[in-house]
Amino acid sequence: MPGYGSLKRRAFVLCVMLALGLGAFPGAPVSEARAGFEDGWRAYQAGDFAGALNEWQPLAEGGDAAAQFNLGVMYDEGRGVAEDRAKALEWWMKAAAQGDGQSQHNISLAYIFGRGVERDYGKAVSWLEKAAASGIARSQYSLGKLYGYGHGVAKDEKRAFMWISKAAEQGLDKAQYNLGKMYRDGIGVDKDVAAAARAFLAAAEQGYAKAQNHIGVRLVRGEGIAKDEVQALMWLTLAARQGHASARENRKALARKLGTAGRDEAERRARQWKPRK
Amino acid sequence: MMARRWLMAVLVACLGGLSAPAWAGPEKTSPDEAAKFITALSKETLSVLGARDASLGEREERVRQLLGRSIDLPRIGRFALGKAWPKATPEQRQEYQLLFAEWVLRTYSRRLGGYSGQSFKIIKAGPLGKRDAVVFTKIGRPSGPPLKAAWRVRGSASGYKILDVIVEGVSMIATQRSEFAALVRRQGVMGLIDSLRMQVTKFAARSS
Repeated sequence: MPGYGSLKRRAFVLCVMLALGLGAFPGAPVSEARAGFEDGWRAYQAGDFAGALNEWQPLAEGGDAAAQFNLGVMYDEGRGVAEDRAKALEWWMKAAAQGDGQSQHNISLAYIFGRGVERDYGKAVSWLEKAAASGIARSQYSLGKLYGYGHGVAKDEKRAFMWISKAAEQGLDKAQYNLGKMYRDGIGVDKDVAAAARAFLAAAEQGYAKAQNHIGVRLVRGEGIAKDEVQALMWLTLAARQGHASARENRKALARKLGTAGRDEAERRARQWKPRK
Repeated sequence: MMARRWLMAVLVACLGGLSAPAWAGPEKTSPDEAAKFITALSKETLSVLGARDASLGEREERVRQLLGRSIDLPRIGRFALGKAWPKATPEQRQEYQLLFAEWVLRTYSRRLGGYSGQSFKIIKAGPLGKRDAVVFTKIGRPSGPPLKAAWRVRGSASGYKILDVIVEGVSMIATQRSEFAALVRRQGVMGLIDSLRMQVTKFAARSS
């Protein structure tokens, strides 16, 4: 009974949201504006975009940053309204002016592709800086990449390392993977094979195929991590199953080298493996 | 009538460049079969979109899976990269293709996932180029005039795949190709890969 399950889950989520909301403001009733916002969210989830717009538009006009952000998304994706990227940007700008990090992040993306606005890497970077400073992991990662390549900014490997490591600390798998490469190659930081292996492992554990390949290779060589060929085969198997081409090659070579017992054990571990959330 | 003829002209002009590889042989895609494929796909998509018991995220995920197996993403990705494709290294190609697929699926499943109350009508189908078929459709929307979309389809041993969609006379992949070419001119292939990597981080609507 999928309907029942999802209803129960939604009721649970709603309870948790209410509990959190009430917990944060003891004694205060859920404000009318919040209730309107949540009605809008329910309409949005049901695909009733006109209904969502009805709830969010007045809130957005009244200065609610989350409603402004969501209106921006609706115009950007053309949901319930004609697609209008300039209008999307207008709403995101209003929210961004209030310090809304997700709006700042989406604005920077619009500048990168020139959507609804003239393409401008410099502006993209300055919006990303704001979002990254407010703690948005995706922005920290993106900014780190821009500093690494020197797109829209002067190339600065130390800054690239700083932002990528901040995003990695927040658990962003791609950032952890990139951090691993920076430690491995000594980019923006001193070379450190053990730190590289730790970073690759963290991303691999979340299911990131490229990192699974890298940690597999390191386990074979015993580079920065104790040599363990069976565990290596497990990681290479997991990466290969996600379609990673070099992992497939590496896996084949290692499987030939290991005996049946090692192969079976790696296979068993791969079957039982689950990504860490 | 004029509009349709114009559409056909644009189609041929835009997509002439997407020719079959020499080894593929003149295996033709039957327009009737292509129309059946598009009909089945539209029925499946409309039923996913109409599943009111599923959350928006779940509907988008199902649309994403449908699109993933119905669109020839590797071929479209290669075409969209244009002249930069032969110059890209194997690693760049792999990275680009992964990101391109992710980006297309994310964009279109978000765009389609929320829709409801649409209707889908096949107008006609015909051959296109040496081996493809084109299926002309009209998509009715609850608000606004119906949308004209033409689907370029190629059949092969592994089934039918969409190669392009031409909405109101504008080829999606030709548009993509020129957008990408501009980026590659400015920043090179790595710059394009970087931009795609960032585009897939765009935030969707949120609950609080």
